[in-house]
Amino acid sequence: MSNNSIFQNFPQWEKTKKELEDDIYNIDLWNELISHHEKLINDHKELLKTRIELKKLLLKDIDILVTKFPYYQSYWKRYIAMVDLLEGKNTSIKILERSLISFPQSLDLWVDYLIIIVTNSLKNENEIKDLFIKALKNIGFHFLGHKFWDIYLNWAKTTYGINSNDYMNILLQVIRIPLHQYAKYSDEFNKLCKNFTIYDIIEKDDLIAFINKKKYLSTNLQDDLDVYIDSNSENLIHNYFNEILDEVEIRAQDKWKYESIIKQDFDLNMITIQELNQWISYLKYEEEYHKNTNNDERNLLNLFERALIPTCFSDKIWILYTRYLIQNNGPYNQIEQIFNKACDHFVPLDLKDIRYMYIKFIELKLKKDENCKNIFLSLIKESPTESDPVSKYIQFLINKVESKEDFLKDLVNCVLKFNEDNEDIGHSNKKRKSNKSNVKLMIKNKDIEELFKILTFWNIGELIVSVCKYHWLIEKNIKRTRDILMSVFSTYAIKSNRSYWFFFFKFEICQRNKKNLFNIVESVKTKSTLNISDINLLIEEYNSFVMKNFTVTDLKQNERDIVKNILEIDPESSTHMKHFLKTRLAIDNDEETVNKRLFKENGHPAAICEGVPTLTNPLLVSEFTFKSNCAPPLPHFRNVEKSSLNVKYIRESI
Amino acid sequence: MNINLSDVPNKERWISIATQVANNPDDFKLWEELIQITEFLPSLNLKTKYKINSQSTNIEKQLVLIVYENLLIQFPLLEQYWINYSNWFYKFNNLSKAIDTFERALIILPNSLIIWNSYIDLQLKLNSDNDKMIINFERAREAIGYHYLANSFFDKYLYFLKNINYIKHYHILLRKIIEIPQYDYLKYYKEFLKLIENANFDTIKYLISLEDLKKDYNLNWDDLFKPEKWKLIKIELKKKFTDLFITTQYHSWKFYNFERKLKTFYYKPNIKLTRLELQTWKSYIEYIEIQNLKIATKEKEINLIKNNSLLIDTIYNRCLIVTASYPYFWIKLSNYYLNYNDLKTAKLILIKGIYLNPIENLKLRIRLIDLFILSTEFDKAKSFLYESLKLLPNNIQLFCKLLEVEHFTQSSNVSKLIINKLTDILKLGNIELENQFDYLFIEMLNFSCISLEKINQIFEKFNTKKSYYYLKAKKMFFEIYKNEKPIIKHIPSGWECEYF
Repeated sequence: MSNNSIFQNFPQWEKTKKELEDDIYNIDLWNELISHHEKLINDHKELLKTRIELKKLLLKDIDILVTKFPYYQSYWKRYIAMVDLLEGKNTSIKILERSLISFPQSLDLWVDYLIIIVTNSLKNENEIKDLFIKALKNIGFHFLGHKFWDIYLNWAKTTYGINSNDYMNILLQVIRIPLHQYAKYSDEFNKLCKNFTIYDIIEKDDLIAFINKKKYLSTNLQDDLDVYIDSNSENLIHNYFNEILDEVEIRAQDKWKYESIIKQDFDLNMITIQELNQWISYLKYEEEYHKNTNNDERNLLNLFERALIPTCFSDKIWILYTRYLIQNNGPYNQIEQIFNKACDHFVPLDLKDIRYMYIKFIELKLKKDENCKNIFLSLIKESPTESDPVSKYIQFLINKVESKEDFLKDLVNCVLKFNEDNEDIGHSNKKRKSNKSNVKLMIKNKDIEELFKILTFWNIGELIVSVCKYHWLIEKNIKRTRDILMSVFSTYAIKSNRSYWFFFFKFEICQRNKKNLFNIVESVKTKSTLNISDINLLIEEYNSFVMKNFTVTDLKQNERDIVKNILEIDPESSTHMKHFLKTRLAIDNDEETVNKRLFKENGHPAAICEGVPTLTNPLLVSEFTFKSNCAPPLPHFRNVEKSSLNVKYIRESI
Repeated sequence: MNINLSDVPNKERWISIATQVANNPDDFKLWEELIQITEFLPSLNLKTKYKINSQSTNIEKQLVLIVYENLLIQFPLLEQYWINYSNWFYKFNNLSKAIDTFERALIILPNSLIIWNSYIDLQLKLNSDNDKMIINFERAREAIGYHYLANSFFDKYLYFLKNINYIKHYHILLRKIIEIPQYDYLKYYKEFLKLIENANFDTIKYLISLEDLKKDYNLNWDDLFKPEKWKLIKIELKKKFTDLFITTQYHSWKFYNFERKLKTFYYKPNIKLTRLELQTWKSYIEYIEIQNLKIATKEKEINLIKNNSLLIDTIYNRCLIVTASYPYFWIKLSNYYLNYNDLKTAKLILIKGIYLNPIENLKLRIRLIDLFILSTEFDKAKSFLYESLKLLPNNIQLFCKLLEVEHFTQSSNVSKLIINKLTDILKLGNIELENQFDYLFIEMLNFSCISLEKINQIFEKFNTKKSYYYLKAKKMFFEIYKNEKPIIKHIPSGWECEYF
């Protein structure tokens, strides 16, 4: 049976799946879909066992969900329950194992897994021991880790016995960790420690260090050390561990302040700034603590991993984490792995910082420039409307090239070539055609050639900005800068380029060039294709410049223009007062065209009404009614016959 | 006015509430209570309550009037209270004051329907000269003739004309009313049809002029004596006015789409309108504005254009009674005049808006100053700025405006003002304020009247500062204004960490 015909029997399923295609981040829809499957499985458990095709489809949906969002613990659990019902325990354990590979930071999943393994004795003693050690590495430092430690200790108790060294060694690990339920373990330890010799529970070196630190013995008596330890062992154990346990208690209380408020679980809602800041301050506290003591670093690394569960879609914690590792000489392959996880799987494309950081890391630490270039290129390709990656890439390249002059020339040529290639879109006038130079525009640098292929009319202008930044800020050549800026003024390449216009404006503000500023703003507001808020921002900046730099004569001459600017940027102004907006909207750059449209669509935007019935010679309301002795003139009309026409909805093909 | 408090009946209660009001002049509930208590002052402790009346003591009368006067200075948009205030004068037999009060109210609320209605009622009581009364009615009609709910007024007017048997006036007025899109448009049209139906050889002259009769139908008065012509002209008139009816109806319905969403009809202090209602006012206004675009009318249709402008005025004024505490609509109206390059009216609107708005709504003030600057009235701008600065002495926005005005009048002063202000703020020891005013470092870069050396000096003078704005401005100054290598070290933050 084909998939389609199966879906036909489940209209609800089909419908929800369709909706999800457009809205993959809608957890309500996912929930609806999974609940639907769960009900189906519960109701027809036996029947489904034989329907392999359908079974596969049912499980496929939730599989997609947990693959896409591996931190969704509750869905992993539901997945496992579904498989358990349909396929039995063994297969469900396989899924559980899979969940631990993609989500090893999950305390609950580990606990579930260990319980199943231990209670059913599915593995031999050594395998189980290894599992516990693996789990300990991942979640042993979780503040609520007692769930895990209880299982571990219970297992050790039955396997090795309560007075065994193995049991004691586990206990010795757990009492050093600041857990929510630290007291349980320290009590247990205090009870049991009497049954052990001092060397069972304290390494000899540690013990000597402790004695020296506390200066229990004067240094010349070192030879009597063993005698001293033997005779004072009970006291020594007491003092040694009291210090550790006291500190753990304080730490647990400190941590509770943070643990009680942080958001722990993953969901599809974007994390709020407040929640993020709570995590950041918690991590800061922990980092600070580890900076000052030589305590187990795994505690902190575990916390980073935990923090990333709810915050994985934001780049903040990823940056903190990698920064910590870089700063503390973490192994490069681990750092690279974390970067890859962040960039490839979790952090959305619009957050660029973590990616820039990665590139910088590759450049400085791994020293693989080619890799950097590739990442830059894919970044630029994936965000065709943004200029920032382009700017960063050029900065990266410019530091590597030998001949800056050639390099900059190439960049300018790119823009000219772009204009040439798009001449038919940009310019309808024929004059330019004849002007076309016969000199072929050459791009010598291979990297730029690659880059040029993926640039768009949103970000090609960034090349000009980068060139000009170099000329202006480094070479300090004002004239050259201006010449280059002017050479592409009002061409196609920079029409939609925010950074070009803002840069040019800023440049002329610094030069206090009234005339050019006027020209820039004039060109932006009547011809450019920037978005409205950017245009209005420039107009606002211009008006502010006027108020600070114009003379009274300038002011008088430009009064109407400034008033029009005010009208343009006020959100209070009616649309018909926004003259430049109307000019830009009109195909023929004549605002009357838009006025016509406004009138036709009045009261019902995007629907046209041909002809409003109008009384063309009304009696003046503001005039004395009885001025004349005879009857007022008969009324005259326009469009009365069109009064009952319906409005026509505009159906433009998009 | 001298008032001997010992003569006030129940003076403890009155003084206690009056003191509360004096201490909390913005609390409208207290005012209402004070009005209530004052009106019933002598009978506060009695079982049967009665209001102060013409027989009350002088001091009681005075108190009522004083309370109303003060209330209306505090809240000048309370239409009903103006009417009540005038009523008290009327009750105390002070007729000229009663009229004065209405006139005062109408300066503030020129298009208020209920004030005009009550004013007309008062004048009907006082005036026995019909022709003078017609002039009063006409004055009101010009003000509120375009009010969508003006039927209460038109009814009054028509009833009056009918009563005094001014048949011609009745015809012509009705003819004017049926052109106006309004809630009760149908009633007047029906009445007008009746006039056509019942027309005789006298009244036909009030329905059609000889000129039109000749031009449109090629007839003379005499021709109408022929029954078939008489019949014809009546049918023709009905036809003509049906077209008018269709046009009026069309617009009445269009307006109704907006009117039905408006739920608030009078001003109430501290009122918060729903978003729907605010949005409706906005689209209503813009709808009517677009009707008067050049594209919508022809140049020779002067009456149409004039009427449309009046309609726009009416709608703005109606809107601004309810939305007076929203700066949005004041700016909108001011912009409406700016669009016609009428800076003078735009400024007047803003001044009125500023008077009716809390000081925190700074945009109105800033805009007024901008317009003063644009019309090169720097003295006015300055005195208004100093007045505003008295209310908000440490407001950075106002201070920046002051710098702009100063640049036009005495540009050498700008840097001095900046230095003085920064020094003053430093003395206050308020870190938050200091950080805020450090924005001036960025602002001063934009003034070409301050030389680069001077800017450098100012940076040096305050070189102990470490605030965000100061460092940013300094960096900008060296990098792009002086085009030198910045002396401030770049501190990496965020993803650019220092250990690379």
